[in-house]
Amino acid sequence: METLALVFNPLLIVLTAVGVVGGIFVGAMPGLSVTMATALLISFTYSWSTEAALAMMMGIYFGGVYGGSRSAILFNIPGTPSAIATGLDGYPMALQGKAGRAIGLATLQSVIGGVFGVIVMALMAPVVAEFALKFGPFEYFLLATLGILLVGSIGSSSLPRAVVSALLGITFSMVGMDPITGGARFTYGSSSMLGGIHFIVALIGLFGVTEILFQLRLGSAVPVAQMHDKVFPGWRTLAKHWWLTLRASAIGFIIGALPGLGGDIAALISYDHAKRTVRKPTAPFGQGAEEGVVAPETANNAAIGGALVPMLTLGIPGDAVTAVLIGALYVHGLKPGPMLMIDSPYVFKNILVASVWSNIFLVIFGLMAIPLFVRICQIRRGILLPFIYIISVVGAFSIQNRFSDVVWMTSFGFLGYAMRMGRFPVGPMVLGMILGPLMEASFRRAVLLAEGSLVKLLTSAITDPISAVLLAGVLFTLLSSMDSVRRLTNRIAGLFARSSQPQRIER
Amino acid sequence: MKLAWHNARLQALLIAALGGGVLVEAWRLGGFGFTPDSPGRFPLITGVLLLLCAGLIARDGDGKPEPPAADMRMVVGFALLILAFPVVLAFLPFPAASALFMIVGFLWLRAMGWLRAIVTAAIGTAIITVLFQYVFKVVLP
Repeated sequence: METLALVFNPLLIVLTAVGVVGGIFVGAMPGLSVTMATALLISFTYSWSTEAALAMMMGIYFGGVYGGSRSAILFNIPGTPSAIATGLDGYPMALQGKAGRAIGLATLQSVIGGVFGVIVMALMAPVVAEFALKFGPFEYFLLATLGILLVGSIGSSSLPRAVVSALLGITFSMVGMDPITGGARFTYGSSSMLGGIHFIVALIGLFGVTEILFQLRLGSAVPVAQMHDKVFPGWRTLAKHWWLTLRASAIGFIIGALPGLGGDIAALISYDHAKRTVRKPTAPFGQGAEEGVVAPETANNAAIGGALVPMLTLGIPGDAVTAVLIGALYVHGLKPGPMLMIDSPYVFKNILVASVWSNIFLVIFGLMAIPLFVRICQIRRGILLPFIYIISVVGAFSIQNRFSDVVWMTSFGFLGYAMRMGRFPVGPMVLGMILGPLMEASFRRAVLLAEGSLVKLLTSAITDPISAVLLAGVLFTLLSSMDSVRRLTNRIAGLFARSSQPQRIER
Repeated sequence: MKLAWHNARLQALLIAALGGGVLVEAWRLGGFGFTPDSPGRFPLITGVLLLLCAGLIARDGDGKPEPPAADMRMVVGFALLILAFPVVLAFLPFPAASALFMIVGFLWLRAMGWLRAIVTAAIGTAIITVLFQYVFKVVLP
């Protein structure tokens, strides 16, 4: 009865619908990211109930990931990184006058992938959470480290730069009072810094102001949309791609569940998989193949369910948006991790229900009002950007009603711009700020349990199977990104390849 | 002078300075004494890792510079507007400050003419004020 009341709660349904529309808009607008929208929204939902805030955020998440395909198909400008692969065949379809069919296919495949992800998440999350109960403080420290390293090693061309970014985030998270002794750290005598830097202020700066400045670099040309035809692709078309849909859903979910990998990587891997395995595509890949839209669009929405699993069960984000969602849960007094499913099972139910409604609204809004969305996508950046900055200011101020937060937010915006110009990814910094306190608390607790002996700590880590696997993961990620190790492994692989080749007999 | 964002040595120097700063704070906190619950232990590790990374980045070599901005004056001008906004906000009430920011922003970014900029800024400010103050119940700056 309680669950039914949650499922049909009119307020939550309306908020999810608003979130989906907002998400499609944000996703379709090149330059506006889903992460930015979610980060901004957290500050406004501060006084809302957890259910209402999560409903809207899930709507934005699903709508945003899907919305990116709109501009990729119509303008050849992916609205989000997860729509990059969709544009490879979606835009050629649009050039052939099949934009409507491509949008319809993208919509329905996104929904199928999204529902698949939600179902598997519902089945898997309780199992993972139960397993995660066996984790001790050092395991949590290693898991957080692994998450940050994975984000860095995959999302950036240079691991040291990603590590610096994460360390910067960890340093900022240490500003304020020490969580155990209560002493002031990194405050330099300023009483206003005793409360620390709220990570949402930093998030708004890094994803809002930084993005505004970066969008300005690109100029403000208005994209021209392609004509569109009938939107619904037909049941026969959907049935024709069922096997590819199933595989793409599985790929999307698995990639999404790995910490640090998001819908963009899932979509690209799925596209590549389709290219290699589909023998007779409707058109050659890259020239308007339906399979080139089916695979990435299914995978990037299935990745959402996958990304929610580590977030809900371990408190480790699967991608940037789930990192922000973790922040949202903290804001509402909840601590993501294995105990969340036990202490606050309604949060899990809430996310499930909001995800299902989001997918229903994706079908409705995705297949309707295409001309309106085309007009919205053509709004000049020069009109949008001042609005975004004002909303960012309101968002940053509303968190603690402190003017200094506006200054911090602006400073983080400029820092993020400088970092991106210098090829430093900002994702690990966000993770560092969110996971920093968890890492430090876990590490110090682990050291205390080992009676202050680092040797004892490492010995117990090697002998315990869970921490041994995590430690191996951390070391592997570190070593695999080192050039010298990479060169050595390539040389060994080369030697093996040479020795396995048949010897040529010289005459 | 051109800003060398992609200069690896400059980046390494800045990171090393930051790492040094973190180490100084760790030392101030007494973190060099290895008590298990020392508040300086984590900053100490962070500072050492920053110094190590600075060395690695110095060896990394200069990266490919970002392509030049479509209009650099536009970027710098808007960045200055962003920097000026908190100052303006200290003297004017939020609706007036945000409307002023939007008008100047629209004109600077050449999004529209004077009259449309004033009307759009007025409508935009009204929407933001009503939406956030009365619907989201957010306290405005």
